Amino acid sequence: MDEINYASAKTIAQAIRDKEVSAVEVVEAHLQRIDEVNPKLNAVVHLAADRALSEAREADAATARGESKGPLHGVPMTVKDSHDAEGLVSTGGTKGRENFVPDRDATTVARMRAAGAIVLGKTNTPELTLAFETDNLIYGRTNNPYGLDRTPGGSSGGAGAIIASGGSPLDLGTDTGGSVRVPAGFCGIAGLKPTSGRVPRTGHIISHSLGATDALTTVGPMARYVEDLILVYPIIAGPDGEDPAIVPMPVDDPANIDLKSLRVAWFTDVGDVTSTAEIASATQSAADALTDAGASLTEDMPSAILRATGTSLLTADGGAGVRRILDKAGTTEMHPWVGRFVEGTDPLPVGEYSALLEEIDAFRSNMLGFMENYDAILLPVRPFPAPPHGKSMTPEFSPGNTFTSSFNTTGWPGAVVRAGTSPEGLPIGVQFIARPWHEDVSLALAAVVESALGGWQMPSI
Amino acid sequence: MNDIVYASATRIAQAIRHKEISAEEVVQAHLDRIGQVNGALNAVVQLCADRAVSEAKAADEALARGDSVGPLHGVPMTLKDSLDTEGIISTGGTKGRESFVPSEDSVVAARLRAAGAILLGKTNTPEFTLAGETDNLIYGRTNNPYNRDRIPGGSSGGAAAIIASGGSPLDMGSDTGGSIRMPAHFCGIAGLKPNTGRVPRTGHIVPYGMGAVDALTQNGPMARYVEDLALTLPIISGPDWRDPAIVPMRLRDPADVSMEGLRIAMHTDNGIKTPTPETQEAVRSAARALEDMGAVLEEVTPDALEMIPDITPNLNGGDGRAWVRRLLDRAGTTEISPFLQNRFDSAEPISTERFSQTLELLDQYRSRMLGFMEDYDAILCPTAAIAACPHGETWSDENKSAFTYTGAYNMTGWPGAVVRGGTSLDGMPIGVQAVSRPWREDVALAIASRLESALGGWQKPEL
Repeated sequence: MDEINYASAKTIAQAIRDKEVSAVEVVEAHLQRIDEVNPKLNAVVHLAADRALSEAREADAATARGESKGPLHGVPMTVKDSHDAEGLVSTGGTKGRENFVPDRDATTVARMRAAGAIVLGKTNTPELTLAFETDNLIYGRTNNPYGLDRTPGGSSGGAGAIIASGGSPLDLGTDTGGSVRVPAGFCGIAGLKPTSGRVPRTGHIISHSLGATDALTTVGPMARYVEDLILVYPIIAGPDGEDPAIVPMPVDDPANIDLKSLRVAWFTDVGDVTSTAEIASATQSAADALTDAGASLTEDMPSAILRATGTSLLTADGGAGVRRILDKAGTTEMHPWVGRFVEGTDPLPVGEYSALLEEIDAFRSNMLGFMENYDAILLPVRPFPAPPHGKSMTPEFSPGNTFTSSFNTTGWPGAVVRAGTSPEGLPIGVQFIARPWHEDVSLALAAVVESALGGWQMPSI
Repeated sequence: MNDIVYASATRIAQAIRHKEISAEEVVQAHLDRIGQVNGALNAVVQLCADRAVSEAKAADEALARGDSVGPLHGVPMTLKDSLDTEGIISTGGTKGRESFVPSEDSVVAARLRAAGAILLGKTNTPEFTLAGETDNLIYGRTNNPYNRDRIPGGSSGGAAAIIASGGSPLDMGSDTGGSIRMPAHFCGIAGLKPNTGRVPRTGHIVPYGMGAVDALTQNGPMARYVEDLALTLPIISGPDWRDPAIVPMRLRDPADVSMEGLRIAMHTDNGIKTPTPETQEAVRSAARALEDMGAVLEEVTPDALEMIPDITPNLNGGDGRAWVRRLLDRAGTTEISPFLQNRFDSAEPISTERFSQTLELLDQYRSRMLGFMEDYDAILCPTAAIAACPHGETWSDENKSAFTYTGAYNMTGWPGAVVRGGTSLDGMPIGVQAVSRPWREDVALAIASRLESALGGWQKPEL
């Protein structure tokens, strides 16, 4: 049963339902794999082994009685440490919450558990999820399973690393500027950032009700296989009566997408921010795979992306919004990656601040105009593979942020899947951005490319 | 066919389709009625009589040929002057646009015309729609058809006054703090503020892209009859690929909503400004009527309403109304109306930190209101604390918080429908407001429709 660690959550759920394997065996196999790889990765920062085994035994007893909690009955998962998990220390990577044990699950965690999933532990995140690498003052740094001297990306880097290594089939990432998609890309797995307004943020360290920056943050699934994103995403979507941004939009099935009807724009460079040759080539391969599947590909880029301004919102008020989150957490000592938002940044004058919000709306409108002629956009997650630790926020690499953050500003869905390998042996991820509310299109395209190019590949860790 | 000017748009469309009456006759009857009443009201500020008659003739010819026609084929309408209309002066009430003739229709105007509606003219609005009365430096003041000394309300005051008087069956208002619902209330007609994200604002003087205040502004229909709100909402709804706030959420049919078991939270006082006794009684009689139909009424006020006075001034004025200044610059306006000057004078700029915090408070208000709504399908409440006051008194200390009943739901973004439910001691209409859960215009409209049947709805003014 070694291969259970590399099976999809969907396959695991089926095997448990069919009693080919017990939930206890599955959970044990994953706990064992975490033990093997975690010393090298530092991806899982809090284990809930006893509770997981106890829940697995209950799940097996229920199966024996002919009962099932839901589509994830007995399936293990990890949870990014930025989500509250009832009874488990949930720090969000910030010192003020070093010992914080929530008395209730975040909405998405509760929904996954209600569907039968079993939480193995929490995965590492940078403080408040606000970095493209994964390191914090409580748990330290997470490493990339394809090169331990490389970052797994961030902020859902713990999730990306442990999933790629077979320690967990599923995790819940969050994405304010690329934090689902970047670690998925750097760790060669699949991930989905849903449309703004799809999935409640209740119980996440960057919660709902954050005003100007509120629409940037979404919660989304990460897994080795696109089919697991398709399985999980309907479970976590929909209003919870607390997050006021959530829209009760019906979720459509990617299986109903007719690829021959899809018009896809694709590009590899944003102005002078150019992709490496291998990333350009992987993107070309993904485009070719979509063409072979019947889609109409056009090399085209929304020109507005050259003027994207979205993430400047975090500093435009002098970091006051970030400061309020730190205060709420009771944090006084912060990581330098958060410090860059709140220290030494002067707020814009209030009239210019409200003008910036209008500029962001104008950006969204311009981008929307581009989408009138396309169903989706294919582009790399980053124009480079996973950088060495500590480099992501330097001028050498930070211009790549716009590849993901532009679509937090638009609020559109984006799915990531592995499409190639760098000369250093690092994964290369591409993303499929779709029209608002069309996760079904993003996921259908990601599934085609996964099938054509192989998707996730086992690391030699 | 005198009563055609008091018929619903739904009925007019049917009569034209069945050739009981020609579009030309209908248009002419409405132009005649505008000619009769507009001297007293100053509601219609631009007429396009020739174009309307010519479009009506074309509509009649299309029917004669057996062409397939839209749901508003041949139906006349007016449009609030804050909406761009191709070929017709569209000022938005601001001097910089005194002679501005748009080269294309606003999305709302285009969709209604594509559905067959015929534009008679433009209706008056205060400058940039930003007032609770209807007066501006270009066209002057609009009067209430039930008493000319009173306000028709604002900002869609021209629309409400001319509809109530039979000069138009239909107009499109816009509502940033109550600008559809308040004039509907003051003039005794029906109006709907759709959900935030339902109807594109492209081509409206307060367009999409307004950043901090963007979600407050909606376009929505105004008419004498609730059935016309239900008829036109689907026509104007849905993405236009320019307004980025629009969500392709499906609409449901109000006809499918039953009052049986519908859970309605009712309040007559929001704790900020106590309404007149007649206003409260109108809400109570509406509640009794709904109870008789099987709805489950509970008298309860959402606690979160208490947050409104802390949020509204900072949200609208916290940036020193830099957002209004940008609108003025874009329009090329240098001389501004007293209403707008009042807005600038009353604005108190706050720090950027407090401004970004105000946006968080607004979200928190929305979350608390959503929590309240978990137990209810709708809220029944006053539209304003008072019936139409004399001109110029909406800014008085006594009245300025009388209009918080509508703004509460621009802040949540939820649908709100208004229908006449009573009369003040001095004979002015009183509207009641039905607010529903997000995206459930069907529920708000169904309640308004039942109340219209039970309480009589619009009544003809003596004009």
